[in-house]
Amino acid sequence: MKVLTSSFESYDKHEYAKSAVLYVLNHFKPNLHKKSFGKHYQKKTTIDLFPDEQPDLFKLISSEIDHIAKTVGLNADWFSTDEYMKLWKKNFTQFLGENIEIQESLDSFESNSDDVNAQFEMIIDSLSRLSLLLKTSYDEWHQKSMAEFLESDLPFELYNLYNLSYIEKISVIRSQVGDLMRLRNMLHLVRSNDKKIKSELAKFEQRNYATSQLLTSVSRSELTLKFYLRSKNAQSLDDLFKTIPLKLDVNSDKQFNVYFNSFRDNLSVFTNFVDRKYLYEDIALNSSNSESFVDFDEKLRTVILKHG
Amino acid sequence: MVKAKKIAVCIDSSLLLAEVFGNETHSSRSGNIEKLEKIFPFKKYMSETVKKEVENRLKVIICLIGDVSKEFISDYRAFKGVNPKILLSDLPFIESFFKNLKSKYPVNKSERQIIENIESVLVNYLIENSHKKNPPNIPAFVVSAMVEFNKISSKIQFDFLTKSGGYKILPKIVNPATCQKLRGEPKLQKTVQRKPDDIQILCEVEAFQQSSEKKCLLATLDHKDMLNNSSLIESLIGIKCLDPLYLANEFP
Repeated sequence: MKVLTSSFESYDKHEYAKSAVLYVLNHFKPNLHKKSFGKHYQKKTTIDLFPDEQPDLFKLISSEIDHIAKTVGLNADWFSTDEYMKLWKKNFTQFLGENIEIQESLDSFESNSDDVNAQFEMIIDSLSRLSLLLKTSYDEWHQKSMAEFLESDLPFELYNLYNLSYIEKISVIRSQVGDLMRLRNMLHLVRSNDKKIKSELAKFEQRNYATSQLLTSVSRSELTLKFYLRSKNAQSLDDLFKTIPLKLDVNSDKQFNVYFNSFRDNLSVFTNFVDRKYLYEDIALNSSNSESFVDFDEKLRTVILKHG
Repeated sequence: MVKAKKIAVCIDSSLLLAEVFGNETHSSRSGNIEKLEKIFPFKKYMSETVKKEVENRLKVIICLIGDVSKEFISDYRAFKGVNPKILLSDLPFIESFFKNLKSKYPVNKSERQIIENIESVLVNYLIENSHKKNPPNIPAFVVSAMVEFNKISSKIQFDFLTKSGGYKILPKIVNPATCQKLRGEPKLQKTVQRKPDDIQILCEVEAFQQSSEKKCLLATLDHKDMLNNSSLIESLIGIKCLDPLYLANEFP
């Protein structure tokens, strides 16, 4: 029998889309400057959304992988962060090559524009394209995920949580886009009032800080778990990037439960934080496409209610 | 009467189960707390034991769905061998697979009901797909069936996470004297034997009432163990158990 996972591509484009989101979000570091204009050197406040130094995606990913590899205690002779990053870069280049619209939007950040409207446009446009990509490739991702489940020796519950995490990340990106659009409009309305500009930025940053903290926690715990499982089943560096059958031996069970519970707890907090407006729209992605499954949900709930 | 701010509405497992998995009748009762929240400024809580009890029940069922569907798919793929298409003539294989599996469980067991439901959706799914213009090959069929199972289980997990997230969690702290009092009460012996977690939940709520100086009410849909013994429980540990429908009566 042919292994089901072998029908799927060797690199996981969804992980690269999520990394691209991280890269875009790292551009949002607003600063206020006083600039002189005109003959009378009139001073005006300008806003610069971007940090002085361009975020380095490879550094971000490299330090994350380094941290995770240390956490899970991966000591295989075929693994080093540098070698891992070489393959990561190769796959990321392939991902951008296959998704030109994402590449274009990420390239626009290199223009170093200091026009705040253009900066807003770049962030909003990139995040919108990335959330759309994640949405349109959901079915493909889900099939790949289920092929992995069928060939692996892992609890079904884990795959329920991967599914929710995937959908909730789309919601959080869309919610960031909504917040950024609101901020752009508000900053335009209060453009001549420094105090109000600061207050609007502070309000946004407070919410944004909470979002990135929770997004980081859930992503890190998920990535740690995935990395742990793959590293336990990998024979070479290449296997860390592939969808392969994942088995747990007796010695890995305890550690697996630690990472699994951490992911579950973080996802639970995240689920209750994500803006309900987007979450309830995006959970529709999870709707069944088949008539045969229509009342399975209800029947299942009745049994669970009576069980025990 | 105690001010609404000083009231803590706690729930037991019967109420959380009804909120997450209940039908309309259940939801109208459990949803009453949500309606009252809009009128009175109280906080709602559940103990760690309640959350764990429901989480474990969900875990068992989800695990069963995963195991049964995976076992079926593995046997089905082995049965089909090199024959790449799904066919209506595969139905006897499904029938025989589930006949064997069902024989391991008594008719009224929830495991048996889940297996019967899985059997029914798989048969219908095969018929639905074999009638398509281009019927899927076996790998595509089994993966897409699994996607459907995952969607439904995920939705249930989602409801559990969102609904349980609306409650603050009580610590797993109890006063040993309270537990002893409840466990020693002759009229509660059936509950002590059958549902020890219910006693634990009552103790956790009582400990919270002591430490928080709030008036704790335990909303429940469990008539047998909680509501029918409400006066007794209140006289023993000072916790009132009540149907959420009548919660409003406790607010000023």
